Amino acid sequence: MFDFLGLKKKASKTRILVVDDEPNIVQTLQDRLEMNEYEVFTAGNGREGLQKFEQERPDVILLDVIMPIMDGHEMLEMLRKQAGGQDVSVIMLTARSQTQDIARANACGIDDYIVKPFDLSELLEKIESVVEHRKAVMR
Amino acid sequence: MTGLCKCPGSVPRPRQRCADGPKMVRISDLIRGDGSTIPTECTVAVTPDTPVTEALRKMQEVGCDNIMVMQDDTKGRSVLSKEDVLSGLLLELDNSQVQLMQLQQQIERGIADQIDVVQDGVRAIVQWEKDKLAVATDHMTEGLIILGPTGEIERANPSAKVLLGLKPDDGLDALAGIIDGLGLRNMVSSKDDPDDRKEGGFKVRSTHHKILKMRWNQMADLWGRFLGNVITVRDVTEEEIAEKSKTEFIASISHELRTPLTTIQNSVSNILAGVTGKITDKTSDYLHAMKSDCHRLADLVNDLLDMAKLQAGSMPVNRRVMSVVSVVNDTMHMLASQAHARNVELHYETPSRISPVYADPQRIGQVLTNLIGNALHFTPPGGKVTVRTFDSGDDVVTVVQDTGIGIAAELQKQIFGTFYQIHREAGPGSRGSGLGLAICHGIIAMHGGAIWVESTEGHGSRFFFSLPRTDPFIMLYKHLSSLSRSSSGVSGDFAFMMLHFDVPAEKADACAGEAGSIINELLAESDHFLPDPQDLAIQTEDFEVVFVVGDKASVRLDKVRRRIQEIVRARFRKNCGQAPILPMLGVGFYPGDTSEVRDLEKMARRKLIRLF
Repeated sequence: MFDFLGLKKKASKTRILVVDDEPNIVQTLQDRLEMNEYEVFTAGNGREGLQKFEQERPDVILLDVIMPIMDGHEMLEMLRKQAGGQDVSVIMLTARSQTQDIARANACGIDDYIVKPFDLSELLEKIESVVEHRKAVMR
Repeated sequence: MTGLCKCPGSVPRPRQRCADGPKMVRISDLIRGDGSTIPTECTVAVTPDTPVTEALRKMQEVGCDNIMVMQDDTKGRSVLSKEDVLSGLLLELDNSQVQLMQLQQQIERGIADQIDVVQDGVRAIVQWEKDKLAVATDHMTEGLIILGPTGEIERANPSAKVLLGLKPDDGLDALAGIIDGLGLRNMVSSKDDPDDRKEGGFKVRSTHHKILKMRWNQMADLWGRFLGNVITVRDVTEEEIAEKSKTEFIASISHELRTPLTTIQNSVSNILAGVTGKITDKTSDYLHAMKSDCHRLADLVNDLLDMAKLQAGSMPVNRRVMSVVSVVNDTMHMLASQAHARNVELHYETPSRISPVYADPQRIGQVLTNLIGNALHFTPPGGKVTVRTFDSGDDVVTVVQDTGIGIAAELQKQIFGTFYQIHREAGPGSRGSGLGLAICHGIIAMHGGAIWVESTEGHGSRFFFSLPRTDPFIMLYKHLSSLSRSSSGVSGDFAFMMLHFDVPAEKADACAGEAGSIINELLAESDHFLPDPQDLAIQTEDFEVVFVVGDKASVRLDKVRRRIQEIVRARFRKNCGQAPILPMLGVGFYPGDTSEVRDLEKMARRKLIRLF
């Protein structure tokens, strides 16, 4: 069906913040997410991530664990203490060796996690399901 | 009495060779001083020096009872009766007996002398050997400690003292103090060892920061009597440091490999998804090949990392009471398409009731993926892979049987070693890291189980692994008891919840599987909503799962309740229709409500409340 009135464009896109210190990973994620109609913001470490969160108020954060300056756990803990920080959905990007740290992240409330190296389509499914869940809760 | 022969020297000689021989008794020895002159009709004439035996023989020949002794003219003649002559014979017998006894004594003395000589020799040899052994042990690089039957130190070489932080010539008392500080005597076997241990090993960190590997063996004599323990001590500090750096290196290199791998994988995936625009079929083929090899590379990295962790003893395990059956089912489901693609029939035979085990489902899944994956890989098209699970004594055994190429007998022991691959050319598709079975072995060993193979070359293989059975209620009670100890005096500190699917008979077929998979799902993700180590989720029956929520019960209890509601609403109600299916939840607090674990369980059942 043609979108004569451009209604689709007006419908707000889901906003995703990617926090990872590997520029190549950030780039590939951003490209794919944008192709799938998400609005993407990026940050290279936890501190930058918190700033971007303040500015952009994303719906979902894809959060790497090991990063310089401020790691993923620390950022998550600070995020949850911030105003509005409880509502944002977080998907952790973790190496398989750190799966035991998931319990720690869970205590701060994460929505899901994915193990690196991950399949992008699997990540997209997880994002979609998190977004669906958000919508259901909002209703 | 006279006439005894005395041979010179200690060695007895034959009598006839005796120089002054046993004095033969002669007739002259029997004649009384006054000379008997009894007249008789029948006499045998003999001279005084006739031996009595000769005189008796003559008397017998002639048939007389007397003899006439023809003495010289001054003494006249004497007559002796037969009794007189016989007494002479007895005298001679006496002489012989005494001589015999003396000979016996001489022989005994001779033997005793010889024994003394031999014993002295043996003693000298033993002492020499002992000295040699002492010198040898004193020069050993390894430490050697010998503990007696009551645990006292009988011997320790200088190396043992030095390794344990003493000077080589320090006394055994100082050493005793150190081994007590390390608790060594408790680690070796004792006279009435309850576990009947014969040998063992352990590592200790000495007071001067050395890592010491100790190996002990029980000593017993020929009759099995306990003599103590012999302990060898080896300094493995450098080996440990090298091993640690190797493990750290593998861990770090594996971690470093992931980042570029993720980028390559993402880039390939993006190009295939059309991020860069339309691509030709040929490009797509290349990219798919790259993508599949990226997965393979990721698997290799994961294997390397797992092996490094197993070797370092740092592999994380998340044990819970679980059913091997559900893990097998999940794995079979995952590998079904691979089996189909290879045209190999994949089949799971299991009796309805299998005991639960206390294990990490993710790790056991890893073992099963490996074993079934291998079986599929080495079974030619048209073949069959059968998995069976059964209770066997105190274990739950799973066997993966294939109709593949089999493994030669001499290779069967090696295949669980690292970097070992069999007949790699035989199977199509990707090669593994050669670590798969070693990882399986490590994981199963970590769970206290065993893994082994039975195979005939050309006739397929059967890979078995066993895990110790567990009773979920024992786990639960253990857990609750330890919680009650740690939370003594705090009322209502943790909650006990039970989710029970009350599936009616008419819905059983349709919903039993669904209920089971919901329980599996809850168990699988229970770590996420029960992050506290004091929390526990266990399946106690087919349709029942129990949650114990530790500290801060009220907040997290709510979290568990919400999660259960979400899953049950989304899945159970959707797939199994409305009432009369009633998942229920019982809630109990401990020790606020009761101090007895069994009462707590009963109470939770009584308080079952409908939540859905």
